[in-house]
Amino acid sequence: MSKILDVRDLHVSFHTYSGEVKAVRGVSFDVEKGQTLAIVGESGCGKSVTSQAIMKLILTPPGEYKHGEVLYNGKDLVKMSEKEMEQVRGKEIAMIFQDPMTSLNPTMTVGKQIVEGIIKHQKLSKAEAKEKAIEMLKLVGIPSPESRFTQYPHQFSGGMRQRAMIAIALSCNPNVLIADEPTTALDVTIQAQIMDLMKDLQARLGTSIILITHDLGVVAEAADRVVVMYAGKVVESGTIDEIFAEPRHPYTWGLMNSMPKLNQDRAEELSPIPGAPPDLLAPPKGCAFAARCKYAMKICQEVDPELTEHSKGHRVACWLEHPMAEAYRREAVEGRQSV
Amino acid sequence: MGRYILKRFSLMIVTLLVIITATFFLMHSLPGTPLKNEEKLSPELRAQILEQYGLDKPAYVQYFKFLGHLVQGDLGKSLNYDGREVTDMLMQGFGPSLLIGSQALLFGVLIGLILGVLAALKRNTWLDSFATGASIMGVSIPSFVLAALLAYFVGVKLGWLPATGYDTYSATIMPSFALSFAVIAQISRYVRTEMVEVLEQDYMRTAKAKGINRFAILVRHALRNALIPAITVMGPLAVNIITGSLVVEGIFAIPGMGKMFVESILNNDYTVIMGTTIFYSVLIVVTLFIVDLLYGIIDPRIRITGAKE
Repeated sequence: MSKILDVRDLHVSFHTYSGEVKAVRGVSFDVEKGQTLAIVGESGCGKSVTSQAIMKLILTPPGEYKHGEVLYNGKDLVKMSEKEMEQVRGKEIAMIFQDPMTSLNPTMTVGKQIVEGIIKHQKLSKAEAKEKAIEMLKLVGIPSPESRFTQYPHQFSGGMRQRAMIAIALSCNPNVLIADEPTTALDVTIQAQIMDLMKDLQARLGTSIILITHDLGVVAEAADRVVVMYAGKVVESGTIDEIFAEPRHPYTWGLMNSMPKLNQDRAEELSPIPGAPPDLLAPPKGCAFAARCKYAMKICQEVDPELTEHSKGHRVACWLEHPMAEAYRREAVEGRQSV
Repeated sequence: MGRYILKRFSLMIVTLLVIITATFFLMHSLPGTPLKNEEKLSPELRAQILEQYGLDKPAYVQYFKFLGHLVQGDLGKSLNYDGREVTDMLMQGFGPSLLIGSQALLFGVLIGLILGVLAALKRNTWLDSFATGASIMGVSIPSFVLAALLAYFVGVKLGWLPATGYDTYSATIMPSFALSFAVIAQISRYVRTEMVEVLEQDYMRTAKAKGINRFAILVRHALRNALIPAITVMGPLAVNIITGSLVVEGIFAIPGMGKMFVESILNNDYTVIMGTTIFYSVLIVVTLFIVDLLYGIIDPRIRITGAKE
């Protein structure tokens, strides 16, 4: 397995009237060829910013790439010029956005919007590009693609539009597909169809996928590896089995607990994580989760824990991982299981 | 589509009929008659002249007579300029107004568009402030002040262009320029505001994510969406400009429609008033119709229903 994308210590800030918002504060992860990496976390944790930063879609200003590298096949995208990025976007790395209702140009036919990228990257003639676009529409399961080709987005349903978005994203056979909450705006039956479609295409085309989501159900179904983000940082990362079977960060525990369970008594209430994420205008000095953490110790308020390796590939940023906290940790885990 | 056009067309006829009727009776309720030196005429002579022109009949009789002629395409003769056909006068006056107006419009829309797009792209820079300042001035300085200043400095002081008249093409430049200012101001404002909004839309990010270059994104994705509100103001603006500005035509001594219209009202020249009103109305109604069709071309979401889904 080889790394196709390697994000190292990425920092992204936004300059606003009230000051610098540190949206992403040192995020590192990598994506292997043909694998699916899920980035999870609640709203505002920096998942979308991270994903857009990879393709350099963040407008500067107000955004700023403060620090870090995004290595794609060894080349640092952060340092690339806009001209060079044009060759990467769509061709090497493509993206599907969250809201299919607003992500397509309302005054351009769906066909043209697919053809555009194909002509740019594959140097095909208009007729060939059209053929390819219709083939893509067929591939993503849009019936009668020839007549759909000349229609406008408003003539498509939500699920159809997301399929069209996927067709646009995959039309140039990208090596990496970033899907930013691809199913959030869709209803549940369509969600499953879209996820199946992406998995199916991945198997056929060998694309690596970065799946941004806050839906752990989707993660469990689709991902190989998981990165849990909180307040602009990675708090835990590991394989899907490690994260679901043996989560080690209290925030990950919180996420798991807040998920409704199939065998849950109806009268039983859901258990959300109390409180709200910190203000990233002035991030706390210690662990960003400490204020909401049931197991917070004194050190958590003072010093931010580093991401440490628990076992190979399973990394956690929490003081409970420290050897000196061993006993306390065991207690916490037992307490969690008895709940 | 055919049905839609037919429906629109019949509505246009109704609109015109209402305008004609209202104008006709309002006009007749004005004090005075088209007669010159009325006080010097003997009552007999006065009655004779009125009878000769059919002005002695009650207004509603005259109204139906007028409609009868109108259906046959006859607007009658001017009461003021003895024996001149109103149709001829309109054609003559419309020529200069149309030329100057279209030049002003073309120039104004082009510059307004460029200015608006640049201001949106370079938001909150000196260029944006300049564009804002220019359009505030364009809206608030009446075109006749600008026209007078131009005529004085460029025409009289510098002598670069003829200050008045309509004999050479160069004489049309200054009036066109004076009129275009308001167009630049309006179009640039609308385009800027809409462009700023469009640039922040999700689909712009989608286009960028495809690897399309900045210029192509701007032209193919942004401009078309940003043009929609500008098209709305374009219709009335175009009619306004093409039919000629009375004061600007006055300052540059151009024998256009604007001048003719005002003169006819001052003289109670009934046939000319009606002729000009009808001409203006037809122009406005037709332009608005064209604008509605343009909408559909630019924005498929408001394309006329009835087309097959």
